[in-house]
Amino acid sequence: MSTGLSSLSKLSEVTSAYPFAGMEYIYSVILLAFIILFFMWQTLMEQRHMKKIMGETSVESESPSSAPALSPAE
Amino acid sequence: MESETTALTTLFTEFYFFMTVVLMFFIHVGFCMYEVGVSRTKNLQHTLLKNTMAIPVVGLAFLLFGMWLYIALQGWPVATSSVSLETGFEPWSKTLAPNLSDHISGVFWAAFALFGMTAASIVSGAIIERAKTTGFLIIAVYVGAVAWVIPAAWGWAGNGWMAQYLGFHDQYCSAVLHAPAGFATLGVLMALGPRIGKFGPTGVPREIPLHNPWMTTLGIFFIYIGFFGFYAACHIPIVNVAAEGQTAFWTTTNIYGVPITLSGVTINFLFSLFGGLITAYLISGGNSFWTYSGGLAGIISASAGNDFYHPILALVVASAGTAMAYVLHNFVERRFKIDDAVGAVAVHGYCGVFGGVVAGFLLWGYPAVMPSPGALITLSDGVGWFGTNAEGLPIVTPMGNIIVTLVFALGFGLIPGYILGQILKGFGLLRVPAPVEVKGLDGENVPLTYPAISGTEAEFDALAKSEAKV
Repeated sequence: MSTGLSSLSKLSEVTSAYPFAGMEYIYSVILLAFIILFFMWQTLMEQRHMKKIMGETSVESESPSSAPALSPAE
Repeated sequence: MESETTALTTLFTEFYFFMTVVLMFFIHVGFCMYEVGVSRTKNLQHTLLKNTMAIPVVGLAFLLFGMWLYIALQGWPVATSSVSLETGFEPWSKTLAPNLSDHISGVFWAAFALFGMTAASIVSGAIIERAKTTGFLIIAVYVGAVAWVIPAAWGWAGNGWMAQYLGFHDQYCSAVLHAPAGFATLGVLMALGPRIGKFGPTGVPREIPLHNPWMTTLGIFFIYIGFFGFYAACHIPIVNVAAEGQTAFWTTTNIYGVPITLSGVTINFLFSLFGGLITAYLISGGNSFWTYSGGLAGIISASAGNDFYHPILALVVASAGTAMAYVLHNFVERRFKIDDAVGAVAVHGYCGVFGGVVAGFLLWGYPAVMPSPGALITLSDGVGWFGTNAEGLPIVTPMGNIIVTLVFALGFGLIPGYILGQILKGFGLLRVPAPVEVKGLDGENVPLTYPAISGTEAEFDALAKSEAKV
């Protein structure tokens, strides 16, 4: 069973109340992986963003017409 | 919980820290508004998201290792040579999750994590309009989860070896948090360089106009509000500090287990705010940017000793620190061409060091630590290198506070901040290319920041009208 809390009859003995108690090391690995993934994704996303701005820079000046086209669906 | 006293003190402490966390979130509301207000319109969304993302990133790092550093390193390497991996604050700890046997660890962690996010935000504002988000977030992890955390373990805990052996006292983190964060910011700024156009051909700094002064106004007021929570989170709110076998003495204590009153702290907080505001207003000739920053500068200047100062003393210390920060900021900006967009180095770095050093003189002779079973503070052997009182407790001294403050500011702030900045610069992760900086870091999203002004809203309205045939 995944539950950490299957009975409320002896409250003084209840400690961990979350599911999958005992898998905290795996949770820690998931957290570490999540952070690493974030930084990788962020780095790539920022690179693309910079390139896009660099591509635009030589072509146009700032004006309302440089705004992305909008449609009702957006 | 078995006894009513235990239940009341535990649940009160749990709720107390919970409320400090809520209040401290206003610091981030304030930082976001302040930075966005200072940024130019072409950089608003980048500025906002860069700061906002520090909140989750530092928070995750704090669960991964930040809080563990604080607990595990308190005695290391002087009082003990061992570092525990069973502190209860490792990421795999069973107490950092819903656990009926522990009501405190989670809120305690959250309060510390919010301190960390605040520290990271200090860097954020100074480097706006030319720093990459990725580089900043790496710096944020260092500043938010390491740079102030090890100083806090050593000098901002009753069991911290610098508090016990050097008699270091810094109740509201002038030197523990603001100095390393502020000086790390200076190190990063040295590597980053100024914004394009900030300095004229002769090196005279130019004022880059604020995009929205009202937003900066509200932002700084939110930071003041958040700092009430910051102060409150630095206490043990209710504890019996009597030694075993003695009559109970229930009180609030500072972080070193020494009894204080929330009442006295509240008035000192306000008086240091008053001192900073008035001094900055006068010395800057009524400059609104500096007046608001001055309030914060005043608080940080007096924070190290605001648990014991008289309110007028807090006012005087705050005034002196604020004046010093203003003069030093302008000198450093002109002399070394440091472009600190929000004055973070002055307000946090210079005032943090000032506060730490001054507290050593003004609180000279105060017991630095009070051991008690209630506060879980025990005295190590051979404490008080710079002196002890009649009861053998280490005392606060100028020497102790000066040494520790400089170690924190330079050893955990300026030097690693500069090195980290140079490494990030080497990998191309620190600064955006010049064309991006000139165009604006929001790129294609610039017109969407203020659609009514850019014409995007009118464009959509025209589309809607044509589709509705009206």
